[in-house]
Amino acid sequence: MQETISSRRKARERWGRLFLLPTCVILFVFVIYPIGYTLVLSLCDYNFAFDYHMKFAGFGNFVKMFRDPVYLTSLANTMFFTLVMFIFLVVFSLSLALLLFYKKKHSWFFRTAIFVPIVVPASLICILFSFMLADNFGIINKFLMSIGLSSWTHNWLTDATSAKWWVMIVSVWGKMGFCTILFLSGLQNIPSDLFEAAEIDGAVGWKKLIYVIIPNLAETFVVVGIWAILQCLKLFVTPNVLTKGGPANATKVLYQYIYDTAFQNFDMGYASAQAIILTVLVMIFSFLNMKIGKKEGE
Amino acid sequence: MKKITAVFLIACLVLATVFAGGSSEAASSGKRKLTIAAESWEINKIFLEQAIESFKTAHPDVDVELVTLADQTVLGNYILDWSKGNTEVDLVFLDGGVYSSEYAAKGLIYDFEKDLNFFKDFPKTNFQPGTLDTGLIKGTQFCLPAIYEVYAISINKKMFKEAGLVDAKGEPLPIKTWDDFYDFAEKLTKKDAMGTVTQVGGSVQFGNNLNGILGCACIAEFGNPYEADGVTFKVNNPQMKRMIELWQKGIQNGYLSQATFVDNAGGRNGFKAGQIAMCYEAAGRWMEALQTVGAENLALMAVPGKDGGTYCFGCQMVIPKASKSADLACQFIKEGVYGEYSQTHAFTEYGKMAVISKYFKKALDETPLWKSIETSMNKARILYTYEESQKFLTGLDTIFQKGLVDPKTSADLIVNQILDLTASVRK
Repeated sequence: MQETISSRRKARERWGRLFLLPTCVILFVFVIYPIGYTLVLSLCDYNFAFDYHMKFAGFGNFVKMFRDPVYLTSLANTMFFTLVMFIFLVVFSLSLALLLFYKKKHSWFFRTAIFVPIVVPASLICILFSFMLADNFGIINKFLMSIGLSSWTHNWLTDATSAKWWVMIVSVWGKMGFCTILFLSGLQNIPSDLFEAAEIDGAVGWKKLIYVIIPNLAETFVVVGIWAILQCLKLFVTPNVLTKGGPANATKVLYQYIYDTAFQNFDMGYASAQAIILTVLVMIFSFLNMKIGKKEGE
Repeated sequence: MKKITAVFLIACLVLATVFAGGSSEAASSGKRKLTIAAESWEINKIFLEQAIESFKTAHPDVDVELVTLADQTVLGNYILDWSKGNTEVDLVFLDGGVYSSEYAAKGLIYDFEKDLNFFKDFPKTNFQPGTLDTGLIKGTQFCLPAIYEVYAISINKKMFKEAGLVDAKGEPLPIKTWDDFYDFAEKLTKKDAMGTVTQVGGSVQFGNNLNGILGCACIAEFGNPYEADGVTFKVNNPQMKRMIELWQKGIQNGYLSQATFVDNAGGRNGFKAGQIAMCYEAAGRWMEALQTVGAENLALMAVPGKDGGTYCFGCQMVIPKASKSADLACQFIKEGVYGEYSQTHAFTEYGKMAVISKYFKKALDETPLWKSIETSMNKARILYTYEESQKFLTGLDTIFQKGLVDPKTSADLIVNQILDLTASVRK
């Protein structure tokens, strides 16, 4: 009897392994192997267009990276965008979510309006903004001139400083909708008796936000935080379409530089090394966010 | 029963995977297939759809598919495919020979002359003089030009008249030197009471055509754009340094547009919109402005310089060695791309000049404005294609976009940076 049970269990395990096999194969082919190959490439000197074989270069690519002014500019830009955009994304999305949470009238309209930028392709948004912000024929400058504010006109995208801010504004606008929806669902999950109890205890306005809402949104903060960090670190479409990383690399970000290095210069070794560093950055930021979120939850 | 079902499912899965690719429609219908890849502007302006239709009519046994490329950056994917001996395309249109250097370096594309014997039944004498040179990569005919273009300055004649920059006949005064170009740009720039620029004097393409812009300026001045080594731009001299200084002054004073720093089409769009008076780019820009500015308000001038020549380049075609239909691709080039319809219409409607002599002459007679730069066109020269051409171009953009806006950067420094950049890329 016992033998029959154990043989049935073994058979079930065999089937279980068999059903796991496709997932394992897919994971190996599309995740583990590419990561491993990227690691190997990062230690090699290999230009896909000109070299027939990889040449082991040790940590040469990593050293080169920190002597390459364009890489350092891209790294600095990425850090700047990540930190500032992360703050903007979280603050604005939470504010909008709170507005939607308390505003019951016509809320469907505001929810749709906030979610629209996610539905519109990011590249299209950027093309529209590039027309609006154009120096010579952009409607923003034209509008300012038509209302007598011609001194406010500016070369929005060809001036390095304003170009950076516009890349950020367009990116935040495009991504805010998703974060808002996440925060809103988090808010809706907070039990209503908590709000009532807090109100009885005299917690209104900011107090309610700080002592009731934010602690109860800890999990949402972690999810939104990781998502926002990933979005900020892998920023690509906005600078690539809006400013092409210019003027003079002022808005070039790591993702873009990795892409240029790999697929325009075909320097796969160097691009892989940059990708490894970006992965490490993503991990560090995500870990920090999780730690902070955990602390807030406690 | 369970085992039988599982075995059956697995067998179905395997069979589905194996036959997922299936046989192509063309193969199953017994037709040969030719796949062509081009960007949308090439499809429209070289009239590729019409060329394909007429080719299909003439060859009912051939099925032709046209793939639209988003832009030239997607071409990077082909290098991976072709180096493994695979290809989904048989004929690729490139936005200039510069994009073929990587393929040529690794021997992934055919030499039209030696490998494909293209000129055996299509002699080189059919081509406009010098146009075939635009497809040479280190002396080898890896590319064939579909059309060709030269650089010149497109002029808004109406703005010249308003600024008093016309002769007794009402024709724009000639731009003989870069000092003239700067002076004209200053006079053509309009500012409102607040000092805001409402009309820009000129635009120079400081974006992804900067290699051509700089090379063309050297050709116009010296004839040969390169130093004795044949690869370094002749920029280390008083004439070119003066030109760079004037470009700097123009940008810093608002007489020249900065739009091309981030948008390659920024200058031409401004010209088309009637906001910019002079546009130094590919000469065909004036034709794009026909609808908005009007034929009577447009003129064309050669790039200033003592020699008076210009830079010519072409939209190039390459055939990957992995293609099994290279013969069909060659046939399509001869009958379709080099056919009368594509060649003349590309020239008369979009300013993309015919590479086939008989059609060039015919189209030139139909669009007389082109004749104003005929002398310059006859002195047109090509530029050397570096192996790491993209790297060079990106570097050049950065040098100029940084240096032109910074009052502390001297023309000497910009020139030194160009020389350093040239030394750092693979030739």
